[in-house]
Amino acid sequence: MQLAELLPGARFKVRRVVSGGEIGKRLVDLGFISGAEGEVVRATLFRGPMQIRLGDYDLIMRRHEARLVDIEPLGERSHIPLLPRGLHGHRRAHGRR
Amino acid sequence: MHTTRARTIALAGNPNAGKTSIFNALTGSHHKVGNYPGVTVEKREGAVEFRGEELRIVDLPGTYSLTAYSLDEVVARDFVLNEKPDLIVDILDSTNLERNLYLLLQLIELGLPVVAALNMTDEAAEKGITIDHATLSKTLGLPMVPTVGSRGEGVDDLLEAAVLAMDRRALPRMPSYGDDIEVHIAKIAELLASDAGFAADYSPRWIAIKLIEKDPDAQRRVEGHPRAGEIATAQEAAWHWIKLHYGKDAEIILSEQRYGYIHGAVAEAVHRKKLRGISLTERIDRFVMHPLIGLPIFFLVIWGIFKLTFAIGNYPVVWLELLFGHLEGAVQHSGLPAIVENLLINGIIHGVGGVLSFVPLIVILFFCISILEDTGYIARAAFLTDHFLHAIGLHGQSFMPLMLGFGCSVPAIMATRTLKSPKERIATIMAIPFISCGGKLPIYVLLAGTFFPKSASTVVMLMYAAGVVLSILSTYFLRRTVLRGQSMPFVMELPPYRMPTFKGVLWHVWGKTWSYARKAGTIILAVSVLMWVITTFPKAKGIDAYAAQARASLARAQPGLDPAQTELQVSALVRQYQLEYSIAGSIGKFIEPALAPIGFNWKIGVALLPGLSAKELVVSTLGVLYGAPVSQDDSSPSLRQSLRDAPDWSPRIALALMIFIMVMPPCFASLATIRAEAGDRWLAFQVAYSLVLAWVIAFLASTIARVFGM
Repeated sequence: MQLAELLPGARFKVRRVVSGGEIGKRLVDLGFISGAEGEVVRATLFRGPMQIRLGDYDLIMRRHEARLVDIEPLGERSHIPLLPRGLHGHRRAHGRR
Repeated sequence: MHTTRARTIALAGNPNAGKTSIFNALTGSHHKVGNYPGVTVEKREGAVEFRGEELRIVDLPGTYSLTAYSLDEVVARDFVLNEKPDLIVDILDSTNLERNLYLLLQLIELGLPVVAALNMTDEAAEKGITIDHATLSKTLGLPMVPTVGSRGEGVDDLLEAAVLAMDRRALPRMPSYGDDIEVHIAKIAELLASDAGFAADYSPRWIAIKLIEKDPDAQRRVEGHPRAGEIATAQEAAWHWIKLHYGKDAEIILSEQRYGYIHGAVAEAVHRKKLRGISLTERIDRFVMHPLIGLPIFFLVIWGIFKLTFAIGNYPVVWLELLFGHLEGAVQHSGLPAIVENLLINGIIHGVGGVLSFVPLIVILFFCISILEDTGYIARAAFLTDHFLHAIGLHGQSFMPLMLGFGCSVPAIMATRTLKSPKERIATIMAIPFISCGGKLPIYVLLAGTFFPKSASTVVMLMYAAGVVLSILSTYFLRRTVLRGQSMPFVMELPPYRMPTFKGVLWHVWGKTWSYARKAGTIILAVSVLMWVITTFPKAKGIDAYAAQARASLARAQPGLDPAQTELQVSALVRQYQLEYSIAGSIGKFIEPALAPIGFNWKIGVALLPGLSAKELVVSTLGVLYGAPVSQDDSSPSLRQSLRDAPDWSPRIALALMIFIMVMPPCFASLATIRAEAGDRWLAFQVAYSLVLAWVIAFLASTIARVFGM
């Protein structure tokens, strides 16, 4: 599941960062390492940036970057089951990969 | 072997970690601002005296890491690699220690002495975080000093620890990446160290780590190494092994190993109390970042800033005008030769004065924006505006430069430095000139007031709106053609709200105002003198005869007029005559055919020329051209009357002129700033693009207006 699919209030654990290169490195440098836990504080509608609490601090990122973080949802808060064409170019079905 | 060269300390740290406060606390007023060579990255350098020794302090750009992907990071590491400071001081934000330690580990790996400041311990305490700095210091193997930079606490201890570390040349403990990876690092480092020259320039371990991280800059530095081939082989072996055993790319794994090391260190030394309740920041953000009311609040804040700027700013503007009035009087009574007097008054005082009296508004605008910056609101503004800005090809961080553009383009263009992606930065720079800067306001007010008296303020607001719309459309277009390209990832820290310190804000304002004044001041001075020259020379022939003629016809037309009034009118007419004969007049007549389709005559052409120096001067030049003495405020009833009476003017012409001025290339000071920040090619593009666009749009407006019978 992608970070971009989560709703406000959802908690998650990072599985991995999907992209390599510059953006992947930057995300990992900022703390998106495997096992890191965080929470979606704020997400405006289905577009626009998200506010993520990662460990001790908050950051904002666009949906595009949030799609690059593969996560495992924690707890009961739900997620958006279906998203329009994401990074992988096909509809992601509900449930874990 | 340090001889007479002053010992140098480099200050590093995350953005928002309070590095600036500590830099200011250390150096006080003894610092200067410049650029790192060859790049548009600000460099702050200062000095502090400690026990009789003067130490040089260099403020590196705030960074989260030391990759080769970001200009700031490259500048920071290049400074350390090339200039080899005696010590690095890393300022850590204690409220999010782990991410801050991530940079610290990379600084340690550079192979120089490092001392860390655990800054913002006050905020950490509020968050329930206690840090046993002695234990942490022991675990990481370097001195760590608690500080509260905003209050200047702990700074003396920090300096003492720094000097001690420099004296001892103490190197911190190298973080470990785990035994397996360490084998690969050691292998590559050994190969690198085999060349004595290379080992003298770079820390072999640091390069080895960077090579495994696939750092492009490190790869480049290794190309000339005698054993480059073997190094490449060892690199690939490392990548392969890591991929095999960890299932992920080497660059990701090294980052994760660093955090693993950090987790271990922190687990012993840092304790968190589970806090209950919502932080103040979160409370405020519920409103400020609310999906529905967040944007309205944002617009309210912007509106408030402009309102405040003009409300307070008017007082100093009036004072400055009085001052220049006195200066003018003093020159008139000084007994200097007439030509010098003329130069001083018409060239310098009017030219520069007209623009400088604008400076108080800029300062207040800077002040408001600096407060926004220091409180952390700018990050919220970026959050609110990014979606829209990204849609046209800009970035959430473009918003502040664009807003500054309403005051003056020069600081606005300078403010684009915070944008890290070159394409988005240049797109923002290109978008700024279309936004109506403060200099265009007097023109709008004059023309709208004269030709659209019933709806003057609406017309002015429409012009501002049109500028914004044009800016948006132009950016959208440019980003899909000339500036097409990848957008920078938008991942930005959202710091907690912080109370800005008075000193911090003042420092910000001072820095921005000084660079603005210096740049704008010298250029405006030079161009004002140039404008004076082209409007005063060559001396019109038969000017005395003309004056006599004018006096005579005035006496006939208005016999009861008192001598002072007559002289005033005669001198206005003489100035008009002189202007027509000057170089400027010739230029105006020369370009008249090009402007004719829009409906402009040569006089308008002449009036546009000083607009290149500063847009404010267009009004005063129109005043001269139409023989009306213009007062410093733009009420100028006589000019308005002259324009209304002039047969070659009409609402249509006024509209076309306002549009032309809105779109045309910005003043020389802005152009110089564009050149400094974007380069010669983009400067040329900006000039050509806006000139052509100005002509086309003004022409269209004029033609359409004609259809509507204006």
